[in-house]
Amino acid sequence: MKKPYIFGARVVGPSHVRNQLPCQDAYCYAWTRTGAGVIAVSDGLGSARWSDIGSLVAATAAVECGVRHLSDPAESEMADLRDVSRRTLEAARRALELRAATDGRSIRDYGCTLLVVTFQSGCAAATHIGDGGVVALAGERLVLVSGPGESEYANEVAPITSSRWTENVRTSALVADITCVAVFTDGCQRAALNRINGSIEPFEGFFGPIFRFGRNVSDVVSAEAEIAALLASRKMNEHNDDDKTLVIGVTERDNAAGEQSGR
Amino acid sequence: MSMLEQEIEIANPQHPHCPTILVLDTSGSMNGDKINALNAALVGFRDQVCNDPDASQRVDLAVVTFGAGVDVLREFDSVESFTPPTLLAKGMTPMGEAIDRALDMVEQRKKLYRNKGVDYYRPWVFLITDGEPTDMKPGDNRWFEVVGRVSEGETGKKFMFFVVGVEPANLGALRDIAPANRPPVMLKGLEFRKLFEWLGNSLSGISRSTPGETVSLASVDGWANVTL
Repeated sequence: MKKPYIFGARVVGPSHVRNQLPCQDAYCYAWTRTGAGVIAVSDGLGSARWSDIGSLVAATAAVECGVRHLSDPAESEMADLRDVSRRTLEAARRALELRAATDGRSIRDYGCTLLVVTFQSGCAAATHIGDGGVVALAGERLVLVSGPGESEYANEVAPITSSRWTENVRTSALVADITCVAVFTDGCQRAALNRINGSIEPFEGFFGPIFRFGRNVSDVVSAEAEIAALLASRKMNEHNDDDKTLVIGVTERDNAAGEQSGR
Repeated sequence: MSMLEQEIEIANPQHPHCPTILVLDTSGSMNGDKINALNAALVGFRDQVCNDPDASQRVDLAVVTFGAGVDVLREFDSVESFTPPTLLAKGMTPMGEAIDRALDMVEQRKKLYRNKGVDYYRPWVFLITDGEPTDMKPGDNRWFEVVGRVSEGETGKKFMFFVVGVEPANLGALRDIAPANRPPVMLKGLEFRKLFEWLGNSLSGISRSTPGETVSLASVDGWANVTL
Protein backbone atom coordinates (compact mmCIF):
# COMPACT_ATOMS: atom_id res chain seq x y z
CA MET A 1 0.00 0.00 0.00
CA LYS A 2 1.24 3.43 -0.83
CA LYS A 3 2.02 5.87 1.91
CA PRO A 4 -0.50 8.74 1.86
CA TYR A 5 0.88 12.02 0.63
CA ILE A 6 -0.02 15.59 -0.30
CA PHE A 7 1.62 17.77 -2.90
CA GLY A 8 0.84 21.04 -4.60
CA ALA A 9 2.04 24.28 -6.10
CA ARG A 10 1.10 27.88 -6.66
CA VAL A 11 2.20 30.15 -9.49
CA VAL A 12 1.88 33.87 -10.06
CA GLY A 13 -0.57 34.77 -12.80
CA PRO A 14 0.40 36.72 -15.93
CA SER A 15 -1.90 39.59 -14.90
CA HIS A 16 -0.02 39.95 -11.64
CA VAL A 17 3.30 39.94 -13.47
CA ARG A 18 2.02 42.68 -15.81
CA ASN A 19 0.82 44.76 -12.87
CA GLN A 20 3.97 44.06 -10.81
CA LEU A 21 1.98 42.38 -8.07
CA PRO A 22 3.19 39.43 -5.99
CA CYS A 23 1.45 36.08 -6.12
CA GLN A 24 -1.49 36.50 -3.75
CA ASP A 25 -2.35 32.80 -3.50
CA ALA A 26 -1.07 30.68 -0.62
CA TYR A 27 -1.43 27.10 0.53
CA CYS A 28 -0.48 24.94 3.47
CA TYR A 29 -0.95 21.26 4.29
CA ALA A 30 -0.10 18.66 6.89
CA TRP A 31 -0.57 14.99 7.71
CA THR A 32 -0.85 13.91 11.33
CA ARG A 33 0.47 10.83 13.05
CA THR A 34 -3.11 9.67 13.36
CA GLY A 35 -3.40 9.53 9.58
CA ALA A 36 -5.54 12.64 9.18
CA GLY A 37 -4.78 15.26 6.56
CA VAL A 38 -5.48 19.00 6.38
CA ILE A 39 -5.14 21.16 3.26
CA ALA A 40 -5.79 24.91 3.17
CA VAL A 41 -5.74 27.06 0.05
CA SER A 42 -6.29 30.82 0.01
CA ASP A 43 -6.53 33.52 -2.69
CA GLY A 44 -5.73 37.11 -1.77
CA LEU A 45 -7.95 39.80 -3.24
CA GLY A 46 -6.40 42.00 -5.88
CA SER A 47 -7.90 45.09 -4.26
CA ALA A 48 -6.47 44.34 -0.79
CA ARG A 49 -3.07 45.91 -0.19
CA TRP A 50 -1.64 43.07 1.93
CA SER A 51 -3.64 40.15 0.65
CA ASP A 52 -0.52 38.12 -0.12
CA ILE A 53 0.18 38.21 3.61
CA GLY A 54 -3.48 37.60 4.41
CA SER A 55 -3.70 34.44 2.34
CA LEU A 56 -0.59 33.00 3.96
CA VAL A 57 -1.77 33.86 7.47
CA ALA A 58 -5.18 32.33 6.80
CA ALA A 59 -3.90 29.10 5.25
CA THR A 60 -1.27 28.56 7.92
CA ALA A 61 -3.62 29.22 10.83
CA ALA A 62 -6.25 26.91 9.36
CA VAL A 63 -3.84 24.00 9.03
CA GLU A 64 -2.37 24.54 12.47
CA CYS A 65 -5.86 24.44 13.95
CA GLY A 66 -6.79 21.31 12.00
CA VAL A 67 -3.62 19.52 13.07
CA ARG A 68 -4.24 20.41 16.73
CA HIS A 69 -7.69 18.84 16.61
CA LEU A 70 -6.67 15.78 14.63
CA SER A 71 -3.27 14.91 16.15
CA ASP A 72 -4.50 13.49 19.43
CA PRO A 73 -5.41 9.84 18.79
CA ALA A 74 -8.35 9.91 21.19
CA GLU A 75 -9.78 13.13 19.82
CA SER A 76 -9.01 12.24 16.22
CA GLU A 77 -10.89 8.96 16.34
CA MET A 78 -14.06 10.71 17.42
CA ALA A 79 -13.49 13.82 15.34
CA ASP A 80 -16.35 15.23 13.35
CA LEU A 81 -14.46 16.35 10.26
CA ARG A 82 -17.12 18.92 9.42
CA ASP A 83 -16.80 20.46 12.84
CA VAL A 84 -13.01 20.49 12.63
CA SER A 85 -13.17 22.11 9.18
CA ARG A 86 -15.43 24.84 10.50
CA ARG A 87 -13.10 25.53 13.39
CA THR A 88 -10.17 25.95 11.03
CA LEU A 89 -11.95 28.85 9.31
CA GLU A 90 -12.71 30.46 12.63
CA ALA A 91 -9.06 30.10 13.58
CA ALA A 92 -8.02 31.69 10.29
CA ARG A 93 -10.33 34.64 10.88
CA ARG A 94 -8.92 35.18 14.37
CA ALA A 95 -5.39 35.01 13.02
CA LEU A 96 -6.20 37.68 10.45
CA GLU A 97 -7.78 39.91 13.08
CA LEU A 98 -4.69 39.54 15.23
CA ARG A 99 -2.36 40.25 12.34
CA ALA A 100 -4.31 43.37 11.37
CA ALA A 101 -4.31 44.62 14.94
CA THR A 102 -0.59 43.94 15.32
CA ASP A 103 0.20 45.76 12.09
CA GLY A 104 -2.16 48.62 12.88
CA ARG A 105 -4.15 48.06 9.69
CA SER A 106 -7.69 47.24 8.72
CA ILE A 107 -8.47 43.55 8.34
CA ARG A 108 -9.81 44.42 4.88
CA ASP A 109 -6.24 45.01 3.76
CA TYR A 110 -5.66 41.27 4.13
CA GLY A 111 -8.73 40.24 2.13
CA CYS A 112 -8.67 36.66 0.94
CA THR A 113 -10.75 33.58 0.28
CA LEU A 114 -10.15 30.30 2.12
CA LEU A 115 -10.80 26.63 1.40
CA VAL A 116 -9.98 23.98 4.02
CA VAL A 117 -10.31 20.23 3.65
CA THR A 118 -9.88 17.75 6.47
CA PHE A 119 -9.76 14.03 5.77
CA GLN A 120 -9.12 10.70 7.46
CA SER A 121 -10.14 7.07 7.10
CA GLY A 122 -11.32 7.70 3.57
CA CYS A 123 -13.69 10.51 4.50
CA ALA A 124 -13.40 14.23 3.84
CA ALA A 125 -15.18 17.46 4.67
CA ALA A 126 -14.54 21.01 3.51
CA THR A 127 -15.29 24.48 4.81
CA HIS A 128 -15.08 27.25 2.29
CA ILE A 129 -15.53 30.98 1.81
CA GLY A 130 -15.16 32.59 -1.59
CA ASP A 131 -14.38 30.99 -4.91
CA GLY A 132 -12.19 28.10 -5.93
CA GLY A 133 -13.20 24.52 -5.20
CA VAL A 134 -12.63 21.07 -3.74
CA VAL A 135 -13.10 17.90 -5.80
CA ALA A 136 -12.67 14.33 -4.56
CA LEU A 137 -12.34 10.97 -6.24
CA ALA A 138 -14.72 8.55 -4.50
CA GLY A 139 -14.35 5.16 -6.09
CA GLU A 140 -14.20 6.08 -9.75
CA ARG A 141 -16.63 8.96 -9.34
CA LEU A 142 -15.71 12.65 -9.22
CA VAL A 143 -17.48 14.49 -6.41
CA LEU A 144 -17.71 18.26 -6.06
CA VAL A 145 -17.12 18.54 -2.32
CA SER A 146 -17.32 22.33 -2.37
CA GLY A 147 -17.79 24.72 -5.26
CA PRO A 148 -17.37 28.48 -5.75
CA GLY A 149 -19.69 30.70 -3.76
CA GLU A 150 -22.77 32.37 -5.15
CA SER A 151 -21.17 35.27 -6.96
CA GLU A 152 -22.78 36.22 -10.25
CA TYR A 153 -19.90 38.21 -11.65
CA ALA A 154 -16.40 37.19 -12.68
CA ASN A 155 -14.70 39.88 -10.60
CA GLU A 156 -16.73 39.74 -7.38
CA VAL A 157 -16.12 37.44 -4.41
CA ALA A 158 -16.94 37.25 -0.68
CA PRO A 159 -13.72 37.17 1.42
CA ILE A 160 -13.14 35.88 4.95
CA THR A 161 -12.23 39.43 5.94
CA SER A 162 -15.73 40.77 5.22
CA SER A 163 -17.75 41.99 8.21
CA ARG A 164 -20.47 39.53 7.18
CA TRP A 165 -18.12 36.63 6.56
CA THR A 166 -20.07 34.12 8.66
CA GLU A 167 -23.00 34.46 6.26
CA ASN A 168 -20.88 33.26 3.36
CA VAL A 169 -19.17 30.24 4.95
CA ARG A 170 -20.17 26.87 3.53
CA THR A 171 -19.40 23.51 5.11
CA SER A 172 -19.80 20.47 2.92
CA ALA A 173 -21.42 17.17 3.69
CA LEU A 174 -19.04 14.38 4.70
CA VAL A 175 -17.83 12.54 1.60
CA ALA A 176 -16.89 8.89 2.08
CA ASP A 177 -14.71 6.37 0.23
CA ILE A 178 -12.35 8.97 -1.16
CA THR A 179 -8.92 8.11 -2.51
CA CYS A 180 -7.90 11.56 -3.76
CA VAL A 181 -8.88 15.15 -3.13
CA ALA A 182 -7.92 18.30 -5.02
CA VAL A 183 -8.17 21.84 -3.67
CA PHE A 184 -7.73 24.82 -6.00
CA THR A 185 -8.14 28.58 -6.26
CA ASP A 186 -10.29 30.29 -8.86
CA GLY A 187 -7.36 30.56 -11.26
CA CYS A 188 -7.97 26.87 -11.98
CA GLN A 189 -11.77 27.04 -11.98
CA ARG A 190 -12.29 27.50 -15.68
CA ALA A 191 -10.14 24.46 -16.35
CA ALA A 192 -11.55 22.26 -13.61
CA LEU A 193 -15.28 22.92 -13.40
CA ASN A 194 -18.10 22.74 -15.88
CA ARG A 195 -21.01 25.15 -15.51
CA ILE A 196 -24.07 23.90 -17.32
CA ASN A 197 -27.51 25.45 -16.84
CA GLY A 198 -26.53 26.88 -13.51
CA SER A 199 -25.09 23.70 -12.00
CA ILE A 200 -21.39 23.07 -11.45
CA GLU A 201 -19.67 19.74 -12.02
CA PRO A 202 -16.07 18.55 -11.86
CA PHE A 203 -14.60 18.09 -15.32
CA GLU A 204 -13.31 14.60 -16.09
CA GLY A 205 -11.02 15.94 -18.80
CA PHE A 206 -9.09 17.85 -16.14
CA PHE A 207 -9.29 15.64 -13.06
CA GLY A 208 -8.86 12.30 -14.83
CA PRO A 209 -5.21 12.99 -15.72
CA ILE A 210 -4.60 14.89 -12.45
CA PHE A 211 -5.77 12.07 -10.18
CA ARG A 212 -4.11 9.35 -12.30
CA PHE A 213 -0.88 11.30 -11.93
CA GLY A 214 -1.48 11.81 -8.24
CA ARG A 215 -2.00 8.13 -7.48
CA ASN A 216 1.28 7.21 -9.13
CA VAL A 217 3.61 9.72 -7.52
CA SER A 218 6.86 8.28 -6.21
CA ASP A 219 8.61 11.55 -5.44
CA VAL A 220 6.67 14.48 -3.94
CA VAL A 221 9.27 17.07 -4.92
CA SER A 222 9.08 16.08 -8.59
CA ALA A 223 5.31 15.94 -8.39
CA GLU A 224 5.17 19.50 -7.09
CA ALA A 225 7.44 20.65 -9.90
CA GLU A 226 5.10 19.02 -12.41
CA ILE A 227 2.06 20.73 -10.90
CA ALA A 228 3.88 24.07 -10.95
CA ALA A 229 4.77 23.55 -14.61
CA LEU A 230 1.15 22.74 -15.39
CA LEU A 231 -0.15 25.84 -13.61
CA ALA A 232 2.36 28.03 -15.46
CA SER A 233 1.61 26.43 -18.83
CA ARG A 234 0.16 28.20 -21.84
CA LYS A 235 -2.92 25.96 -21.79
CA MET A 236 -3.81 26.93 -18.22
CA ASN A 237 -3.17 30.64 -18.77
CA GLU A 238 -4.73 31.17 -22.18
CA HIS A 239 -8.13 32.03 -20.73
CA ASN A 240 -7.25 32.88 -17.16
CA ASP A 241 -4.33 35.10 -16.23
CA ASP A 242 -4.90 35.03 -12.47
CA ASP A 243 -2.68 33.36 -9.83
CA LYS A 244 -3.19 29.59 -9.65
CA THR A 245 -2.93 27.07 -6.82
CA LEU A 246 -3.64 23.34 -6.91
CA VAL A 247 -3.02 20.94 -4.02
CA ILE A 248 -3.72 17.21 -4.20
CA GLY A 249 -4.09 14.76 -1.32
CA VAL A 250 -3.84 11.03 -1.94
CA THR A 251 -5.25 8.95 0.88
CA GLU A 252 -5.46 5.45 2.07
CA ARG A 253 -7.39 3.82 4.83
CA ASP A 254 -4.51 2.33 6.79
CA ASN A 255 -2.96 4.32 9.62
CA ALA A 256 -0.21 6.50 8.13
CA ALA A 257 3.25 6.50 9.72
CA GLY A 258 5.02 9.78 10.37
CA GLU A 259 4.04 13.35 9.55
CA GLN A 260 4.33 15.33 6.34
CA SER A 261 3.71 19.02 6.02
CA GLY A 262 4.35 21.65 3.44
CA ARG A 263 3.61 25.03 2.02
CA MET B 1 6.16 21.35 -21.83
CA SER B 2 4.51 19.96 -18.71
CA MET B 3 3.44 16.35 -19.17
CA LEU B 4 0.11 17.14 -17.54
CA GLU B 5 -0.41 20.08 -19.89
CA GLN B 6 -0.53 17.65 -22.77
CA GLU B 7 -2.98 15.36 -21.03
CA ILE B 8 -5.53 17.67 -19.43
CA GLU B 9 -8.43 19.36 -21.13
CA ILE B 10 -9.90 22.69 -20.15
CA ALA B 11 -13.57 22.62 -19.12
CA ASN B 12 -14.34 26.21 -20.04
CA PRO B 13 -11.82 27.57 -22.52
CA GLN B 14 -13.48 30.95 -22.70
CA HIS B 15 -12.67 34.39 -21.50
CA PRO B 16 -15.15 36.01 -19.13
CA HIS B 17 -17.45 38.34 -21.03
CA CYS B 18 -18.27 41.99 -20.42
CA PRO B 19 -21.72 42.74 -21.89
CA THR B 20 -22.02 46.40 -22.85
CA ILE B 21 -25.03 48.04 -24.47
CA LEU B 22 -25.10 51.52 -26.03
CA VAL B 23 -28.54 53.17 -25.97
CA LEU B 24 -28.23 56.10 -28.39
CA ASP B 25 -30.55 59.01 -29.08
CA THR B 26 -31.04 59.41 -32.84
CA SER B 27 -33.98 61.79 -32.63
CA GLY B 28 -34.29 64.71 -35.04
CA SER B 29 -32.59 67.15 -32.65
CA MET B 30 -29.36 65.14 -32.92
CA ASN B 31 -29.13 65.98 -36.62
CA GLY B 32 -26.00 67.72 -37.90
CA ASP B 33 -22.81 68.14 -35.85
CA LYS B 34 -24.01 66.00 -32.96
CA ILE B 35 -24.81 62.86 -34.95
CA ASN B 36 -21.66 63.33 -37.07
CA ALA B 37 -19.50 63.54 -33.95
CA LEU B 38 -21.23 60.50 -32.45
CA ASN B 39 -20.66 58.48 -35.63
CA ALA B 40 -16.96 59.38 -35.70
CA ALA B 41 -16.60 58.51 -32.02
CA LEU B 42 -18.10 55.06 -32.55
CA VAL B 43 -15.41 54.31 -35.13
CA GLY B 44 -12.68 55.41 -32.72
CA PHE B 45 -14.25 53.35 -29.94
CA ARG B 46 -14.27 50.21 -32.05
CA ASP B 47 -10.63 50.70 -33.04
CA GLN B 48 -9.53 51.37 -29.47
CA VAL B 49 -11.29 48.39 -27.91
CA CYS B 50 -10.27 46.01 -30.68
CA ASN B 51 -6.64 46.98 -30.20
CA ASP B 52 -6.79 45.92 -26.55
CA PRO B 53 -5.94 42.19 -26.38
CA ASP B 54 -8.12 41.56 -23.32
CA ALA B 55 -11.07 43.84 -24.09
CA SER B 56 -11.30 42.69 -27.70
CA GLN B 57 -11.89 39.12 -26.56
CA ARG B 58 -14.12 39.94 -23.62
CA VAL B 59 -16.40 42.84 -24.54
CA ASP B 60 -19.74 41.84 -26.04
CA LEU B 61 -21.41 44.90 -27.56
CA ALA B 62 -25.03 45.67 -28.41
CA VAL B 63 -26.51 48.90 -29.82
CA VAL B 64 -30.06 50.22 -29.47
CA THR B 65 -31.12 53.52 -31.01
CA PHE B 66 -34.24 55.58 -30.38
CA GLY B 67 -35.61 58.21 -32.73
CA ALA B 68 -38.07 57.24 -35.42
CA GLY B 69 -38.90 54.18 -33.34
CA VAL B 70 -36.68 51.95 -31.25
CA ASP B 71 -34.21 49.91 -33.27
CA VAL B 72 -31.90 47.13 -32.15
CA LEU B 73 -29.05 47.94 -34.51
CA ARG B 74 -26.94 45.19 -33.08
CA GLU B 75 -27.67 42.23 -30.81
CA PHE B 76 -24.98 41.28 -28.33
CA ASP B 77 -21.91 39.95 -30.09
CA SER B 78 -18.16 40.18 -29.77
CA VAL B 79 -16.87 43.72 -30.19
CA GLU B 80 -14.38 42.29 -32.69
CA SER B 81 -17.21 41.91 -35.19
CA PHE B 82 -18.58 45.42 -34.59
CA THR B 83 -18.95 47.55 -37.70
CA PRO B 84 -19.84 51.06 -36.52
CA PRO B 85 -23.11 52.16 -38.15
CA THR B 86 -23.68 55.53 -39.76
CA LEU B 87 -26.50 56.82 -37.59
CA LEU B 88 -29.12 59.11 -39.06
CA ALA B 89 -31.13 61.49 -36.89
CA LYS B 90 -34.87 61.84 -37.23
CA GLY B 91 -38.05 61.37 -35.24
CA MET B 92 -39.01 61.75 -31.60
CA THR B 93 -37.41 60.42 -28.42
CA PRO B 94 -38.93 57.08 -27.32
CA MET B 95 -36.40 56.72 -24.54
CA GLY B 96 -38.62 54.70 -22.19
CA GLU B 97 -39.14 51.93 -24.72
CA ALA B 98 -35.45 51.96 -25.59
CA ILE B 99 -34.42 51.55 -21.95
CA ASP B 100 -36.87 48.69 -21.49
CA ARG B 101 -35.59 46.96 -24.61
CA ALA B 102 -31.98 47.38 -23.55
CA LEU B 103 -32.58 45.98 -20.08
CA ASP B 104 -34.47 43.02 -21.57
CA MET B 105 -31.47 42.34 -23.81
CA VAL B 106 -29.12 42.48 -20.83
CA GLU B 107 -31.16 39.93 -18.89
CA GLN B 108 -31.40 37.62 -21.87
CA ARG B 109 -27.66 37.85 -22.45
CA LYS B 110 -26.89 36.98 -18.84
CA LYS B 111 -29.25 34.01 -19.04
CA LEU B 112 -27.43 32.82 -22.16
CA TYR B 113 -24.09 33.10 -20.37
CA ARG B 114 -25.41 31.11 -17.41
CA ASN B 115 -26.85 28.40 -19.64
CA LYS B 116 -23.56 28.05 -21.48
CA GLY B 117 -21.41 28.21 -18.34
CA VAL B 118 -19.70 31.44 -19.43
CA ASP B 119 -18.33 33.76 -16.74
CA TYR B 120 -19.28 37.41 -17.07
CA TYR B 121 -18.82 40.83 -15.51
CA ARG B 122 -21.64 43.13 -14.42
CA PRO B 123 -23.18 44.55 -17.62
CA TRP B 124 -22.83 48.19 -18.61
CA VAL B 125 -25.78 50.17 -19.99
CA PHE B 126 -24.69 53.46 -21.53
CA LEU B 127 -27.48 55.94 -22.42
CA ILE B 128 -26.70 59.07 -24.45
CA THR B 129 -29.41 61.64 -25.18
CA ASP B 130 -29.83 65.31 -26.06
CA GLY B 131 -33.43 65.56 -24.95
CA GLU B 132 -36.04 63.98 -22.73
CA PRO B 133 -38.41 61.05 -23.21
CA THR B 134 -41.40 61.67 -25.46
CA ASP B 135 -42.97 58.27 -24.78
CA MET B 136 -43.32 58.74 -21.05
CA LYS B 137 -43.84 61.59 -18.62
CA PRO B 138 -43.11 61.92 -14.91
CA GLY B 139 -45.97 60.26 -13.06
CA ASP B 140 -47.32 58.03 -15.81
CA ASN B 141 -47.24 54.25 -15.66
CA ARG B 142 -44.38 53.79 -18.07
CA TRP B 143 -42.32 56.37 -16.22
CA PHE B 144 -42.71 54.57 -12.89
CA GLU B 145 -41.99 51.22 -14.52
CA VAL B 146 -38.85 52.33 -16.36
CA VAL B 147 -37.41 54.50 -13.59
CA GLY B 148 -38.14 51.78 -11.05
CA ARG B 149 -36.52 49.16 -13.22
CA VAL B 150 -33.33 51.20 -13.58
CA SER B 151 -33.21 51.94 -9.86
CA GLU B 152 -33.85 48.36 -8.76
CA GLY B 153 -31.44 46.97 -11.30
CA GLU B 154 -28.64 49.22 -10.16
CA THR B 155 -29.39 48.62 -6.47
CA GLY B 156 -29.64 44.88 -7.06
CA LYS B 157 -26.36 44.91 -8.97
CA LYS B 158 -27.99 43.58 -12.10
CA PHE B 159 -26.13 46.13 -14.23
CA MET B 160 -24.41 49.53 -14.12
CA PHE B 161 -26.46 52.28 -15.74
CA PHE B 162 -24.73 55.39 -17.04
CA VAL B 163 -26.58 58.45 -18.37
CA VAL B 164 -24.86 61.08 -20.50
CA GLY B 165 -26.77 64.20 -21.49
CA VAL B 166 -25.89 66.27 -24.54
CA GLU B 167 -27.00 69.91 -24.69
CA PRO B 168 -29.86 70.78 -24.49
CA ALA B 169 -30.88 67.58 -22.65
CA ASN B 170 -33.45 67.94 -19.87
CA LEU B 171 -31.17 67.42 -16.91
CA GLY B 172 -34.03 67.21 -14.44
CA ALA B 173 -35.62 64.33 -16.31
CA LEU B 174 -32.29 62.57 -16.64
CA ARG B 175 -31.66 62.90 -12.90
CA ASP B 176 -34.95 61.14 -12.26
CA ILE B 177 -34.15 58.37 -14.71
CA ALA B 178 -30.53 57.79 -13.69
CA PRO B 179 -29.78 55.67 -10.60
CA ALA B 180 -29.39 57.67 -7.41
CA ASN B 181 -25.80 56.46 -6.95
CA ARG B 182 -24.84 57.34 -10.52
CA PRO B 183 -26.25 60.76 -11.48
CA PRO B 184 -26.16 61.86 -15.11
CA VAL B 185 -23.25 63.80 -16.53
CA MET B 186 -23.45 66.43 -19.26
CA LEU B 187 -21.18 66.12 -22.24
CA LYS B 188 -18.87 69.09 -22.76
CA GLY B 189 -19.75 70.41 -26.17
CA LEU B 190 -19.33 67.65 -28.72
CA GLU B 191 -16.64 65.68 -26.88
CA PHE B 192 -18.07 62.33 -28.05
CA ARG B 193 -14.61 61.13 -28.98
CA LYS B 194 -13.29 61.66 -25.45
CA LEU B 195 -16.44 60.11 -24.00
CA PHE B 196 -15.89 56.94 -25.98
CA GLU B 197 -12.17 56.92 -25.21
CA TRP B 198 -13.13 56.95 -21.53
CA LEU B 199 -15.63 54.16 -22.14
CA GLY B 200 -13.03 52.11 -23.99
CA ASN B 201 -10.47 52.59 -21.22
CA SER B 202 -13.05 51.68 -18.58
CA LEU B 203 -14.00 48.49 -20.39
CA SER B 204 -10.33 47.60 -20.74
CA GLY B 205 -9.94 47.92 -16.98
CA ILE B 206 -13.02 45.82 -16.29
CA SER B 207 -11.93 43.18 -18.80
CA ARG B 208 -8.65 42.68 -16.98
CA SER B 209 -10.07 42.64 -13.46
CA THR B 210 -9.94 39.51 -11.35
CA PRO B 211 -12.15 38.48 -8.42
CA GLY B 212 -11.90 40.92 -5.55
CA GLU B 213 -10.22 43.58 -7.60
CA THR B 214 -11.76 47.04 -7.43
CA VAL B 215 -11.65 48.79 -10.78
CA SER B 216 -11.42 52.55 -10.33
CA LEU B 217 -12.92 54.43 -13.24
CA ALA B 218 -10.97 57.37 -14.56
CA SER B 219 -12.26 60.88 -14.05
CA VAL B 220 -14.82 62.11 -16.56
CA ASP B 221 -13.47 65.67 -16.35
CA GLY B 222 -12.03 65.51 -19.83
CA TRP B 223 -15.38 65.14 -21.50
CA ALA B 224 -18.17 65.81 -19.02
CA ASN B 225 -19.51 68.18 -16.45
CA VAL B 226 -20.57 66.19 -13.40
CA THR B 227 -24.05 67.27 -12.34
CA LEU B 228 -24.90 68.13 -8.77
